[in-house]
Amino acid sequence: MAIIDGAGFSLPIANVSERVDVSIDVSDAARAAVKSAIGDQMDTHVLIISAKAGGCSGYLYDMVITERPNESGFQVIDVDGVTILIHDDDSALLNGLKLDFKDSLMGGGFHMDNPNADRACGCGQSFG
Amino acid sequence: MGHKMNTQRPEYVRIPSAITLVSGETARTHLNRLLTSNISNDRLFSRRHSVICDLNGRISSYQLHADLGDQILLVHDDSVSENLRNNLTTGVSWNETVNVSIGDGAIHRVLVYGKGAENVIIKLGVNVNHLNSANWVEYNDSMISVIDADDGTPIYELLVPTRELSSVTMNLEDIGVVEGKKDTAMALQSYKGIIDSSINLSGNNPLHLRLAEIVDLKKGCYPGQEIHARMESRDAIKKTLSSFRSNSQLSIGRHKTSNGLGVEVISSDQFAEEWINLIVHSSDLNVFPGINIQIEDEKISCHLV
Repeated sequence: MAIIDGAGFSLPIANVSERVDVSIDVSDAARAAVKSAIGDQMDTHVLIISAKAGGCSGYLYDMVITERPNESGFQVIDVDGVTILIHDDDSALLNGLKLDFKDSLMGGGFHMDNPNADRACGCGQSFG
Repeated sequence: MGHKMNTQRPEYVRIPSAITLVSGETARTHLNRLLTSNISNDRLFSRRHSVICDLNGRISSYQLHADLGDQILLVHDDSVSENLRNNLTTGVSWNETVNVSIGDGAIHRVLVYGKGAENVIIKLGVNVNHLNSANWVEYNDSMISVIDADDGTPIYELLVPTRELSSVTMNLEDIGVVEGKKDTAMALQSYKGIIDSSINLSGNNPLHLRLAEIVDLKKGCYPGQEIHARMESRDAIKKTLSSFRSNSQLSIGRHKTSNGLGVEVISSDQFAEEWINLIVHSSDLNVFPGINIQIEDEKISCHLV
């Protein structure tokens, strides 16, 4: 785009985030739910928990089951055969996280209790 | 609103602006999670204003967008640069790519306004029929849009790369456009109730500034959304923004009316012998035909535009 082709733009701003050694607590129900979701791909797939900007309270939790990524920078947590990865950039936000699972029609699913959160939104998906 | 306010000849002015460029595969998604507006359907050359709010629903930054497809150019006041860039660089997930670059000084924002401004733009070779406030149009290496043309006194807005700035201003001067004052361009917008992107709105709630069109309560969560949704559903938008004229300048900030009611002046710009002011006030306050604002020992009469 011609308007931005010339000089005068900086290199992308580097985001420096604090890295801490992550410890999380996964309830039996949550572990069973993750195992069930991964199914017979336990050898190749992992659960990645992360935090991204947005939501009512500033950050949104994100959980994905995916093939183990090649990228470096993840901390690996093994919970009775379930591999959970948390990226260093999210470590300060997610350290001490308690992951639970509630099997109910209303309000069921994974629940996060995060000691780093000063506030959380009503739906539980956002914290700040 | 009485007579149309305008200068007697076409003028141009450079508005000091800071520039932030957001790029990367997931830049739009990331930005969309932060803004009160939904930009997921914006297209190449879309033009819009937006705000990012804090958790209490108060504005952290106010910016003008120029959508360049896979990159989004944000034009804003330098006073919000730190807030904006911090927000943009925080919370980028491991599987996202978002690059934030600073372009202060790389691009200039130029406004063209006043009597005959439309002819000026035509003489520059731009088809004014293609201009509207929701889009940018390419003009050489620059981009041009129109802030407001509804009342027949259009204000044209150009984003000009530094390398092209002298040639653009020379072209303007060659066809009789003179360099004006920033105050004049700001006052012309305030007169129309338009909040220029260079005004620092930090700490204000967008719903108190008549910015409801850039607060999308149906897009899903964004920082401050719970507050905005509650205000809207409970009919609790207790403040609004109005334009007033006065015979002297009002200092920016909180003041009281002569009746002791709180108001907040967000801009005050001189046009000829008067000042045009944007003032946030209680929706219940009867502002017609005007209000008196007490500033130190002086009572300043402000008349609704």
